[in-house]
Amino acid sequence: MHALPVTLIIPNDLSYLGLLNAFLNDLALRAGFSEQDALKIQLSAEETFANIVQHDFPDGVVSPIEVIWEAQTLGMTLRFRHKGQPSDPELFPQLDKQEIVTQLAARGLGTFLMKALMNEVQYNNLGFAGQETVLVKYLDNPRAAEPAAPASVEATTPVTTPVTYHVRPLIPEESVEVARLAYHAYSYSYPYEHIYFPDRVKNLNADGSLASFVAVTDAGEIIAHGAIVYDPGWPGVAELGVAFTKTTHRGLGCMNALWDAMIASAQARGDDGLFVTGVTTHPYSQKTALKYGMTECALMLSKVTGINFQNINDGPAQREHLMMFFRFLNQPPAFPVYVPVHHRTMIERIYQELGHAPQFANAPADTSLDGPSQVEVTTHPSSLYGIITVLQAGRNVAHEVQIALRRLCISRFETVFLELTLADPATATLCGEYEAMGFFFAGVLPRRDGKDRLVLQYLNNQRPDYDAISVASEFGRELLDYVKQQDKTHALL
Amino acid sequence: MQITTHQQDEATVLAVSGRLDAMTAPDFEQESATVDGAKLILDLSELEYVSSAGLRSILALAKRLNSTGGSLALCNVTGLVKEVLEMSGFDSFLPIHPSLDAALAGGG
Repeated sequence: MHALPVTLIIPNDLSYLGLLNAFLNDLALRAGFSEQDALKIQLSAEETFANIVQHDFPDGVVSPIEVIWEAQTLGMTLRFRHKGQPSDPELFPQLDKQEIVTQLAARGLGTFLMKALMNEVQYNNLGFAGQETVLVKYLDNPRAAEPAAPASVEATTPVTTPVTYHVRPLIPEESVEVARLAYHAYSYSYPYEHIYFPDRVKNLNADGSLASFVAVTDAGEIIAHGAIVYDPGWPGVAELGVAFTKTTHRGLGCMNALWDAMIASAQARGDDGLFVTGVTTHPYSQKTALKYGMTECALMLSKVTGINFQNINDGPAQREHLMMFFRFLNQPPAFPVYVPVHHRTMIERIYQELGHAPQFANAPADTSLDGPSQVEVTTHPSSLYGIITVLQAGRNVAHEVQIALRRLCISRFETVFLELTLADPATATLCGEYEAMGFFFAGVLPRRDGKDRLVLQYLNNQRPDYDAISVASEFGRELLDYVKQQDKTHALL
Repeated sequence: MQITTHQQDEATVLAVSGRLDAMTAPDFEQESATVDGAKLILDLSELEYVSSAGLRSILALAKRLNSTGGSLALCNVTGLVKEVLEMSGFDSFLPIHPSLDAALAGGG
């Protein structure tokens, strides 16, 4: 469900708190939140509103605050936009529970409650458009119950007799089986968290954000799942994944049938290209991507919390490095790309492997950045990484990126990715400045309409074990060696 | 928010209902400042909502009572209020009792 946003504009005056609460309570209950969660949304909103009113405007200044409610499939996003003074969230006091006990003081309590009660809290500097605080809350859909322990030895023994199965799109009622299949294959370690919530799987399939396919035996048992994930921020390209097979049915070839069905579905929809994410703990998922004509385009280090592959790897899960693969389904026109000179050879190699020849352009000598910058920060708290996207490079853009990076590091995000539009000449001219902050090359992520992204990455006090990274092709090795060489911190240690 | 006050045994009981938020916390502080007594119990059975502003006013009350040798206890805390008190660590320095009787018996 993507209903129209609903906006309330109120003055920066705490006496409007009652109106704000009534607004949010009504919308939260309409969106399907429980009364308890509606109160949590009001509480986090009160903390945000009070912070803005009390700290962001000089005394006596009257100014509007826009409160924008966006109902979404998984819950809601609430934005507070205002033109108060810029604030630096990294300077917000942190709650010290010991201080409450010893000194009966509670600095940072409001911010603590906001973060504790919401799934995500973000602060964005919108340039001339002011400041934005974003609260995200998911509907409290129940996670699938853990399946009962296998009743017999047969239940865990690999199937050796021939099994016939067919592949088809998921039926909504099967969502709980898919959630349990994910649990069977990965316990609760699969990074696409929504897969463990049957209602979310159902709703995401209904609104087109997910296209799930299942392999089903003649007896009606679901033995494998795969999905095309559509991100509204990436029109025209999608990601194949969320793929797992029941441990007892591995090796029967049903994943191949699923991949064929998914690629055919994406082609029928007119998608321009498909991503696949390959883990690097083992080479199997990368080999599958290669088999389907995909090639490596980026190595994103330490992107997710360790994945527990049942029966594939042993020992405690480390953070996982991900190899991104891409395949064009429709060859795009040769849009111009402005690549940093020192990365040009590698970027050319990536495009060459992808079978695409963009128009490599030189940045004009005078790329003065007079306009405002637009820098977006998204966070993934469950995987502890953040993405800074430069949507528009204007004056002070490097400073904006630096501030965003510091905030994410102080909030203990393990890895920060910086996405830069290759169609923007500023990407070529400013890349070195970002690299001086500690970012280094990750790769290229193709997008529709010439909006391909150069991705840099920053590791927050981590030292990746490059020798432990599995790759599945010669080009994968070439990309890994290049990324390692670009990681100057690693070179120093 | 509404507050009703009564004496029971040795204690002064403040029954707080409704919402204790940035708008009502000043009223709570004003009202509770007039209460004397060595032992104060907040009966929160009808309190449905408390924000950081409300928590701070409870903290200020505890501080005032501490400085005068008095004590503060809470009782009948449920729902979001209970969750917020626990996640903020308030239950580590404020006695929280399941009922008014337990609070009267348990002291603060």
